[in-house]
Amino acid sequence: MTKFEKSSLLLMLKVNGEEMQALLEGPHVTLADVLRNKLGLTGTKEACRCGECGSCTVLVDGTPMLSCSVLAVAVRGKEITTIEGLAKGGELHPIQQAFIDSGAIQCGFCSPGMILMAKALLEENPDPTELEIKEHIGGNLCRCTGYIKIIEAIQLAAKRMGKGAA
Amino acid sequence: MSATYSWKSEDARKEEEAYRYVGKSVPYKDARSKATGAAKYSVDIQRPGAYLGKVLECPHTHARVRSIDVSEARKLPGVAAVITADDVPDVKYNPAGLEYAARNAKAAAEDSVNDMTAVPRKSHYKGEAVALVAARDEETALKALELIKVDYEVLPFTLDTASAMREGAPLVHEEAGSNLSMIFDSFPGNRGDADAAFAQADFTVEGDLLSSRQHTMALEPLSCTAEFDSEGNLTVWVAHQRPFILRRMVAGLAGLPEAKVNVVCEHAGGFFGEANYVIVPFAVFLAKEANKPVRIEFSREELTRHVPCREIYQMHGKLGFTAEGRLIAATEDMVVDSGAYFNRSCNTLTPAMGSFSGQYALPVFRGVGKIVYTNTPGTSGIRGYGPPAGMALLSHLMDLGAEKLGMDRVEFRIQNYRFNSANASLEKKGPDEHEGSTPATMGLGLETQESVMRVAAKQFGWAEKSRRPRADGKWRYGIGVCDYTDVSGPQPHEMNDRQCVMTLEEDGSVTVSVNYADGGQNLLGAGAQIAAEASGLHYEDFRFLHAQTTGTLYDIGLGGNSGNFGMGNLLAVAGKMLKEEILKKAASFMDAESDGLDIKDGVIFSKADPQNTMPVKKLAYDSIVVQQGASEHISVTARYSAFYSPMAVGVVMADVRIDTETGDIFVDKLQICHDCGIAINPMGVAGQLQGGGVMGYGYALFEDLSLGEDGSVRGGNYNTYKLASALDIPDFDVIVYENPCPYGPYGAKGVGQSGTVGISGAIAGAIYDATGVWMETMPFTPEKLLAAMRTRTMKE
Ligand code: FES
Ligand code: FES
Repeated sequence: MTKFEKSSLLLMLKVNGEEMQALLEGPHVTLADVLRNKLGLTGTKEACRCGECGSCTVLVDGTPMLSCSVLAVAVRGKEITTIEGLAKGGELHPIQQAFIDSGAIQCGFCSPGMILMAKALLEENPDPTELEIKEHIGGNLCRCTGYIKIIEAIQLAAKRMGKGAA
Repeated sequence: MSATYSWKSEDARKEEEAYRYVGKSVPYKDARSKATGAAKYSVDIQRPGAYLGKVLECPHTHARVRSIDVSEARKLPGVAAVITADDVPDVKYNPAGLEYAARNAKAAAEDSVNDMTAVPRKSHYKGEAVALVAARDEETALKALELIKVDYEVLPFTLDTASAMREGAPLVHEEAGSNLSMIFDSFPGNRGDADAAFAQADFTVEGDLLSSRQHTMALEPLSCTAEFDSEGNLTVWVAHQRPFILRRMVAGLAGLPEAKVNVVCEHAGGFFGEANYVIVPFAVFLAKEANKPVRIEFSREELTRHVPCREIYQMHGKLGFTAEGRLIAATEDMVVDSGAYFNRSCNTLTPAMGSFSGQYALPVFRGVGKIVYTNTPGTSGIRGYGPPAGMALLSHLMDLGAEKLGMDRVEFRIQNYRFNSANASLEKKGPDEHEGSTPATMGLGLETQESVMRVAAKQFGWAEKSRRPRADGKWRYGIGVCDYTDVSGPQPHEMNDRQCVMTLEEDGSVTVSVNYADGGQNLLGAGAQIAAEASGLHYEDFRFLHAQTTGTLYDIGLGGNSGNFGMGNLLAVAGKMLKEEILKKAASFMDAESDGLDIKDGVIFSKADPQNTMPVKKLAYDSIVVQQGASEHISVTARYSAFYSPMAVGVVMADVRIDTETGDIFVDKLQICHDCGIAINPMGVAGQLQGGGVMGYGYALFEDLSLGEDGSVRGGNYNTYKLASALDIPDFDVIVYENPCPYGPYGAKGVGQSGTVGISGAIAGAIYDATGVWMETMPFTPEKLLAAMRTRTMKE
């Protein structure tokens, strides 16, 4: 008898606008685990698995959450956005484009989390100050860039998106 | 606000005017795949049917395995392999030594110690792996670990170099007979009689510094997947910056011919040092035994225990001066805590002594390093190698020299440069006129030191800030300067060989096969800019097959600031060769002599008759498809061996504010001015300096892998090991200083690690300026500063 028969459960999730299902070993499985290992969405990264680095950030109904610290069963029925869901029809989201244009991506391991954090910020606050940006991404670690170009990228995206809206 | 400035010499301006791609801030080559989550890192590799590997950690700091019983674990359903020291070859190796062998055979024989085994028979540090398992899932693997019964003989341990060198200290490696694994006194830059020179000096200054355990803490957790195919070929997926060296290590351990091993690393979530080899033998031996693909991933905590941190240096430095403040002699005595293994210790001492002795005109130098084992986690070369701590001490000693004479610290340094306006040896020398066998002793590229210092001082407002009051109520203010030099690769002391194949495809694009493990340095982007410039084709035309050893040519890999210079020169050579081949071919199509033709923006044209043109795309198509019976896929194989390593030169300045009640240190401004030769991609150069600078900032102020009383790593995740967050970074200005270097690809020098080198020295110097306290132990924390300030006040 495998443990799957013991306690496995079938979970329906809505990820990047698509209904998806995953077979979990039990209710203890994290959202990050489901995304990366069951659904093959490895764009979501995990650097610490303890809520300290922000690299596993995804949007749940538009709100950033640490997918390493959220149980998959807890987000049933909610709208989950991962980095794979940001570009539409091959067209990059303006924040992705701004990260590229500003040189804000070096190794890129923190970038999915940073970009999703930036999306949540700009939706709420389209014209953030430098300090507001720093505070907002203060929980997302990056070892490569020293953050300066990431902050510039978010400012550039804000400027471009603001123009688009006006 | 952090700002980026550009400073260009007249030569730089003139040269860059002619370039179409070099000197432009174009987006990095693979940024799109990283921005969309498509880029695959080693940790994302999921092979069908892969079993999970786990390590059994020894619960003691130092203990011999008397006996180990794995029979129960082997019987557990779902377990495919259990491995102990009995199941792996009893060979000792050193991954850094293998690299040495490829670079400098003499050094490999003399300066490397083989002391690692794939699975040891005792723990040399707390938590070292003594057994491995592979099982179908995590639960089974953990159960199997529990079923392994080990009888340990617990041994006394030694955690610091002083006690490790005492008579009768427990031996970390018994077979070595001593914990002092090497006395390194053969630094090629040692010269003259230091004691005699000190005796003649008008005054001397001395000081000490103990560096800290900085960990790479790269964001990607370390994982490795190993898989044998039915023909016995082995593929290893791991983040490693020297894939060909790793291939030789794996082949040697597993008893395979090199060509049967394929090391794959497309993207890594940061490198910052040669540390990731540790996990590889585990996955390989498990996969062999299990006859299945095996994947191991360290948790962050396992990673900080098993992946080496920076070597810990206890340094004593002494400088001797003439009455006018001319440096006449220096010594640097270093005791290196190499941790449980020797690894790269010697290899990081050479640059540490190189920058200490090569920075100023210095007739006499003696560097001696004692390399010592302790029962603490392993160490390796981390971003900047030896120099970041060594430069901090040297910088402090120069400050003391200036203080003795009441001279300005900036002017005091300038008067000691090897090339400055006063001693007028500013004319450029060819490499043959430079003597020496290390980059530092050769001193290529140091001509700009004075200019870099003056540009830095002006932008920083050094003179104005020097006149500012040092005290205001509880606050103390200070400024610091640390000038540094850094290599562009370790040649000629160690060789830096690279090669690639560049092929013109029938659609006119170019495929470059070159071995390069991407850790975020954008070397492919910079390389494409260089190749486009050299060939006359477009930046967008270049695509790279770079991720694996199979199908690419041998390359030494990355490290020691060698990428931009070595790989850049390689791609400049290859681009030029490709252009020549294209023009040769075009001559027959265009009814012209090949030397009468040129290429611009992907179009071949006759220099004599600009109307006579042919797009490269058409030539490529015609030569492959149309020329039936004589079809040619134009392709060149290029090689580049760097024989010189121009020194990259820089200056860091810091403005700090100290709260004398709490010891809190606020860095109000940090500035780096770095001479990179020509910035192939100025955005990329600034990005490397910013990232390296913030890593140096952490090294100076808070990063330290803290060890418990038994030598265990405390915590080991980001909640106990602090990395700077966006909220912690100082106002940090970058000046990209450009003056073409005659040896570099289009005038470029090294830059990747340089940002880290001078930060600690500038901050420590500013703290000293503010408080009069020289902090002898890194990192410079408020608690230590407060205690030191109190001691100082009591003395006064
Ligand atoms: S992996 Fe979730 S916060 Fe680090
Ligand atoms: S780009 Fe590497 S961690 Fe941020």
